[in-house]
Amino acid sequence: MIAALPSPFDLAFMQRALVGGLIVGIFAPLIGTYLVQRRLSLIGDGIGHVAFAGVGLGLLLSLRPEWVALVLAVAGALAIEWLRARRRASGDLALALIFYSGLAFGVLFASRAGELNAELLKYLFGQPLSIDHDEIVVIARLGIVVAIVMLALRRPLFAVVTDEEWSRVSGLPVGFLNAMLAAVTAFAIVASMRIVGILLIAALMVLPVASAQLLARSFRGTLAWAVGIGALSVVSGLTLSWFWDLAPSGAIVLFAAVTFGIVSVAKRAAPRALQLEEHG
Amino acid sequence: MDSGCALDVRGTDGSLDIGRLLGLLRADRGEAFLFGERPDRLRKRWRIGYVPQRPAIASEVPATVREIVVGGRLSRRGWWRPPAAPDRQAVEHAIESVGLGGMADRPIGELSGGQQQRAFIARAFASEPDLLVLDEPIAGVDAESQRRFRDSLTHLIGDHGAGVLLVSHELSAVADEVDRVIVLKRRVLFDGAPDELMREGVSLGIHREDLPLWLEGLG
Repeated sequence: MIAALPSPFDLAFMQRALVGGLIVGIFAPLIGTYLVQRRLSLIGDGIGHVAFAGVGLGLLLSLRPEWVALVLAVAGALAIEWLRARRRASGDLALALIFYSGLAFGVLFASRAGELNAELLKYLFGQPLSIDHDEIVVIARLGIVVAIVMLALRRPLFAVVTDEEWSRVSGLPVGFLNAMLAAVTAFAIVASMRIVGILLIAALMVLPVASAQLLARSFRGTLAWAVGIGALSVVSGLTLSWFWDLAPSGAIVLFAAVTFGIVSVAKRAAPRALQLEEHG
Repeated sequence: MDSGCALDVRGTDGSLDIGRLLGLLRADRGEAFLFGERPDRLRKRWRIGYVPQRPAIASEVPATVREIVVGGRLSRRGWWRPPAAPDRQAVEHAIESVGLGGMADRPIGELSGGQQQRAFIARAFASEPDLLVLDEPIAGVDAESQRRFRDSLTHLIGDHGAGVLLVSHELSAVADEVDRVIVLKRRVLFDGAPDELMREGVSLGIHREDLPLWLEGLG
């Protein structure tokens, strides 16, 4: 009887959604932990807007939207980082200019391409169930780049996002490290477009971290919790969307949001019981 | 400079002078030298152990004392290299020497102000620097932390032969340990041993009002 019940992940399209979703569910919160520490929680939203222009341009030129989006997103991320590092008085407005020009270009390019509706919505809102084999390969390649960079640079990156002035005095290549973090953020955003959509990318980068920092007592512990909650949100969101016929991207992000709600209420009710990393 | 040196910066902005010395800021006029090189060209940055006045440390995400102190080894071994046994030993030694041995795995946000500052001193110690640069280290720190702070400085000077450059408006806590005092107010007003300064009628210890009065007389 139980065997007769269809498991959602028996089907090939659900398996592809799961593989792509797990890659994104792991790497988005991993990078997000560094972004939250730097107080740049919403930067993913801005870079996503720029990536959107790349999607539109890709559709217009009949190129693969992911690769065009990647070029523009990396360029945009480096420009945003350059403005942040210089702390220009007009930096805030300059960011708005970059973000919304990106969005506007995306709309124009896509409408010229005659694909303002169906194609574009896949990237804006994410449709993991329609991901094809080629798209999984793209997401996996982006994931491998992110994994290599984060593994190699995790120690100096922690120092730079935690105390930038001190890192500069002690001779760390602060500009290079910041540029690498910005570039890797762009990679993760492009990988996430088809899973949760441009509009919800920042949520997947930040919400698992919000829960994790309440549960952990170290940076390493926060990374582990954030990645775990991100992966769990993807699996749970896909499963819920299968049984209740929900939009998967919304279900994934709402699962992460509800997790944060439960963790913060539980932390308030029983602060000691939730200190999961006890030591003598 | 082979042991304790204090820079008295009453009436000047000590943080700016430190910034120039460390190569964060450019000098308006004249030139600064650090180990015989221009500060912004200095290659072996681990030779400086820098303790900022109020570290601009981000604490959105919890980080333990050890995670912070480990950063002190990055420039010493090369930031691209993974840590080896000597790095781990230096980190544990630095944490012990500031008296935070029992708190290495505690999130830094749970520590008192004085304990946090000792953690930042341990981060500077961890690179086994030739020169420790401290910006206003005694400001707002409790007596217990001041005593431990002095002990760890004398340990660094005695056992490791490092120099200490201490920038402060308030030198009484370390008055007995200092062997050279430089008083700055836009220009160098005094440069010599503390007892020479005493002969001018100024003491660093008990009579805290002496130095401002003396400065006004020079004004």
